[in-house]
Amino acid sequence: MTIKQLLVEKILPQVRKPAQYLGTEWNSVHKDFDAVPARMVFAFPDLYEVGMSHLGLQILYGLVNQREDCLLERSFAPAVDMEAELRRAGLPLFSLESHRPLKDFDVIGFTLQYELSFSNVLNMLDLAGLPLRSADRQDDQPLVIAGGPAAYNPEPLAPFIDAFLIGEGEEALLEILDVVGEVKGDKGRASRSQLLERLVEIPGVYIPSYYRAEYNEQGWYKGIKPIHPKAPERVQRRVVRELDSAYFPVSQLVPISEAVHERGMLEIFRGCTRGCRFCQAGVIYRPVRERTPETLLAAARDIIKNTGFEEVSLISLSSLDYGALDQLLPQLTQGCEATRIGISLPSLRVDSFSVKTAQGLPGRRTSVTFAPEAGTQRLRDVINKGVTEEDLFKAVEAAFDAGWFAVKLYFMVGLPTETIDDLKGIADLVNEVIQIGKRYSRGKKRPRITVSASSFVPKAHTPFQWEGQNSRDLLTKKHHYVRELVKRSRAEYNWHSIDASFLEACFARGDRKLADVLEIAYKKGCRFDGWSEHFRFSLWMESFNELGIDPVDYAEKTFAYDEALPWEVIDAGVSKDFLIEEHQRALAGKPTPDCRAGRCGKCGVCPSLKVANCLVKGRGR
Amino acid sequence: MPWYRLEYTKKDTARFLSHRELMTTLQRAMKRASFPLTYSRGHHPRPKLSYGPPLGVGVAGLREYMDLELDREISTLEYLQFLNDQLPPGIIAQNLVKLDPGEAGLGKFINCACYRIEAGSCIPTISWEQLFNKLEEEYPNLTDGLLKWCVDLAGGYLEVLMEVGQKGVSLRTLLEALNKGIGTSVLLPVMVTRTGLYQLENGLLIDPLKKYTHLLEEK
Ligand code: SF4
Repeated sequence: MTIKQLLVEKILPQVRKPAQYLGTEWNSVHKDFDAVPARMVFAFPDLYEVGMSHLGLQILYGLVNQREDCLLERSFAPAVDMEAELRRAGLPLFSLESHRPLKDFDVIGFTLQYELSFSNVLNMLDLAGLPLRSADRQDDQPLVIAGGPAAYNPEPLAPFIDAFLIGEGEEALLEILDVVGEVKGDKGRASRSQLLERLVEIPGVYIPSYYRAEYNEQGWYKGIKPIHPKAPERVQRRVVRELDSAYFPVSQLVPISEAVHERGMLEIFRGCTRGCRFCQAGVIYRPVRERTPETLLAAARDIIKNTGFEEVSLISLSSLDYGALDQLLPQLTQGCEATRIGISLPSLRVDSFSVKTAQGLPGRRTSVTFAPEAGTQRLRDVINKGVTEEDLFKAVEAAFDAGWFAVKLYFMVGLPTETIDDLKGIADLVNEVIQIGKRYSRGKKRPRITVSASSFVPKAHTPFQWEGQNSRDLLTKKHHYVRELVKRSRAEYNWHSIDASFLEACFARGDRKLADVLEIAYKKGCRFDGWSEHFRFSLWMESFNELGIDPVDYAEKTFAYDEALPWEVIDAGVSKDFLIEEHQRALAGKPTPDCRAGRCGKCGVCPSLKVANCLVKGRGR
Repeated sequence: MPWYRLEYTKKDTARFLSHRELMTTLQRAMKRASFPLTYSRGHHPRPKLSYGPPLGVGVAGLREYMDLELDREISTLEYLQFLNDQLPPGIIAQNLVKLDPGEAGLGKFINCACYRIEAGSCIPTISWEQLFNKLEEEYPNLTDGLLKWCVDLAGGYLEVLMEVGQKGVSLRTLLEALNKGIGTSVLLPVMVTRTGLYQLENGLLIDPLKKYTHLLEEK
């Protein structure tokens, strides 16, 4: 029996949400597997419902499948019940389109969206029937690559991944697949070692086995050295210079099983130069590259026609900063209203303009989310979040005025230099928002304010990369303190698991030694660490203990500027001097303006990557 | 605005879709096929659709129905084709007919459903008839909602006609009872197909497109 037959007859009747394993999504591409030279499977180390909402998948899926000599199929982390069934039946992990074992592909490509999906990467390799470590895999087994934001500190995954692709994949992935096709030739299989010899020449490709990490007597990371003649000292990230002419998918996959977001995705621009100092995305997607309204309107039309989605979402890191909103929105709204399509914005900037703009868009909107991130002006200056109290109050007023009484506020706790006043400040802001709500509540409608607080996690390549995370005890106390204050003003206070943020901090700035921890934790049963119902912190702690590694040394470590950082083998384009200066300015509470407005802040990205901010002009408002 | 009734099939791998997934899939296919759907008024307009009794995950349906209101009259044959061009594998639009004004909606019309339960390769060691007798002792109310059943021993399947709604026994209970009766703790790998939905009145079975009328015999 084929995998497909076994699935249909024996396995799918036993699992929850079986439709996610069918591969019959509208716009899915089913090619003749044996007739295509370069075959890759896009492995998303989280559930279908998460992965299918991911823009990167849609882009690469459409891009690669456009090419006649390549194919890209999908595989998501099987849910826990499905994993059990697969293991019981002795079936390997398969791709959704052809239901072939992952082992049959030339390339298995993981996307690393967050550190807490790393255990799923190992699980998927194991379910594919592959040895976890590159060194243990046969030369003719599939090439395992990985990319995505969490690849900007690739070190904790170094032994498991053959090659990382750093940065945007639109151009580099095709270059990789070209090499795969060439090296494979008419042999059934490409040799991995030969492949790597060629891939190292592609900019943006980091091959961890070509480097040796060094540690001092205390076991601290000391630096990394290329041990292969062709391996560059540092691997510079890839960036798409001309986004407007770059490929963008309009025949997007339509989920057949429920997904977190089911909507057409219109990426209006890439990059954000606001420069929040905790934010990694703000660094690794610089500079800003906007698409023109013409391109976007044409794409929107096709997306709507080809998918039948009820909603289109304007995707970017900060959609209301788009330069030609006044050209894009009226026309887009008109087109969408005629076909009863809603338009959504993933997040709103904290100001009344944003709210009013969102109000003018068709579609259902019952709640709004604002992210002031910190409770006082002082701390917001430290993190360079250009939001004032007044901005927030005006935004909230506008929201209540629009009839949106469910307001969600995002804050971060444990930021560098934070004091008790900053924590109190969160409660004060929430309180004031509630007072405003009372003024606006017309009799029966009560505002519902939800505060969602995360714990600060220092991320590689940001101005806060040197900062240690607060201890778990301290974070717990801080969250409890704010919750008590907030409760008095009768708002709901939720916070993300502190243990999970702690683990995230370890891996976000970890070195290769954490690979052993990861492997042990995985073997003990850790997976889906980002899901509270599956997260098993005690197993992680056991794994650290067994190896004599103290996770606190990673999460809470404060690095000196001249210390070697495990992720410095990756060049994100931003200069170290800039990051140091930004860190200094943060400590001094000095804001740095957005370079979008014209003045270059000399972060180094544009000259080193030979790019520039690419802005479209609106007619002015 | 005119109402239309769609008859469709959900089979093969598409039987693994849940009711919600199926409805979303049909709705998006109709949008791609440019059906002039009528939308409700108000803040969050939705297409005006109404469905027959939902079909569970894993259950196939040979003749399922959906009513839809359209902004204008359409050529049903043409639009049936448009729709089939936009449907994923396993979902097939069979018929599209315009309803007469004032015709009863699906919810009102349908009061019974016919299921075929196949045991696949795992035919129980006792005959279906013995099984049914045994079940009747254990589940005295089990057969209350069952209007008729027939057993094909050679084909290894059981066909039941049962009431839909509160009165009848649910399909799930029936399957559970069958499993228990056979004495397996694991769910029997059965294949369940809803073969039709009907209105039963005065001993006559009428399908929602009023194409067939059967006389119901005694059980
Ligand atoms: S180099 Fe200047 S213009 Fe370019 S992203 Fe950095 S600060 Fe902005």
